[in-house]
Amino acid sequence: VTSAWRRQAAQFIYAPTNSDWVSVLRLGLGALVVVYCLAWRQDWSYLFAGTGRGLLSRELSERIISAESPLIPRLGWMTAVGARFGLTEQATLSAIWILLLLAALTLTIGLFCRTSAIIVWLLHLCAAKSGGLLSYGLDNFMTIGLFYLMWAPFPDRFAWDARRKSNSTANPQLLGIVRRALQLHLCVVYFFGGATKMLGSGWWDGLNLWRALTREPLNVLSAETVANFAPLLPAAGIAVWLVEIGYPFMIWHHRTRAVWLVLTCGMHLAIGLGMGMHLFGFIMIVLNVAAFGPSRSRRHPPQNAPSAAPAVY
Amino acid sequence: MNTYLHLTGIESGYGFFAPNVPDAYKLVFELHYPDGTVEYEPAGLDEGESSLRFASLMDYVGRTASDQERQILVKLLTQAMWRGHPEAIKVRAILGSVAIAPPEEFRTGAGATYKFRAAYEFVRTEKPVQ
Repeated sequence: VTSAWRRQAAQFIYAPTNSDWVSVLRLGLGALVVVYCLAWRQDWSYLFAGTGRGLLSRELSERIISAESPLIPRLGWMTAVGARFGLTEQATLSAIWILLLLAALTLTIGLFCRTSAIIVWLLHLCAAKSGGLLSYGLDNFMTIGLFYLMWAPFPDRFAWDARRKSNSTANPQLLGIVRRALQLHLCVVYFFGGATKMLGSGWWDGLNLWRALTREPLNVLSAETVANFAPLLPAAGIAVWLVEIGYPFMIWHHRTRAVWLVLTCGMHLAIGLGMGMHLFGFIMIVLNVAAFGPSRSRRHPPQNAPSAAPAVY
Repeated sequence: MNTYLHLTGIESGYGFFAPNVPDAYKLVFELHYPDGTVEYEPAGLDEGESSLRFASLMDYVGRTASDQERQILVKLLTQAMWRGHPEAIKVRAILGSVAIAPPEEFRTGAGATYKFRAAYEFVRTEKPVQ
């Protein structure tokens, strides 16, 4: 019995797959970081400046994370290095922004994939930690996605690197392990998201959805518009909870996977459009499609296939 | 272990808007000028991505259990605002929470209710905000 369990567990963990999911993750996260950089271009230096020069104080955020661990990467390390070379804080912050944007662009087109992924992960992590008081869920999921991408076997078949290198076949089992880790991680995320919502009364009577939709700055829709749909809010609140709590149970079976994936992506699309959380909605869709989206059949050659195989799970 | 949790992005929980959606916090600056005029300016950043981040900061400011920490953060925000209004001699930062009435009450005309949470006064001496 034990060996049968072990065999099943091994089959589950080491299930081979192709690199399509890496393509989705790389293209999605690369594009997201490009937009992230452009969205921050006005406020980048203002938000990360030191005490007395910006909105808050980068040093304050960095002192807070130092209390957790002195080894967590931060922008302060880079501004200190820049100062040794005579660069002002402003110049170093601008250079970091440009480097992050360039690395995101090369990641998107798939050029120097591994190096680009590591640079993007590191610089984004530094920004997220140094601006910790100004970060929100988006930064968490960007860190998570970029971490998996950094370890993903490169190059995927749509990457520029795959055209440059003739013997670029990634190990299907390694591709499978990293994807499995991402899949399990998402299941944990949704399960706990649903479980904690279960404790709040407002998810059953629609009040939480009402408050979320009418709360500044998420109030993209006017309160009058949302009030017109008030009778639907309890059902919508319960639906959100059901999608989240049901995710780890429904996403694995091939018969329910497509439905749950569409429901989950639909929920994030609605959050992105209806609450103005475009980047957050986008990253959740990218992570879901990368983790559980359709890919070429495993019966076909996983890499460098002569023609695209039908899309099956 | 803490370092690893931060490097992988798994240092915090995943209970977004759970168990319940909290009130929104609002910070308003009351600027006093030498000629006796008073101006009000709400704290915040422009539309879009930055406004989401600022809302996240305001949630933290409003919900932190430490009044000392809240005061430090409000002081820093006041300092940033004051740099744009160097003529002001005194600034009062007023923190409150805003809760919108439930939908059934909203449809009968009830609006948002504002609840005062804290106020901090900063007086200019030689340099803004000491």
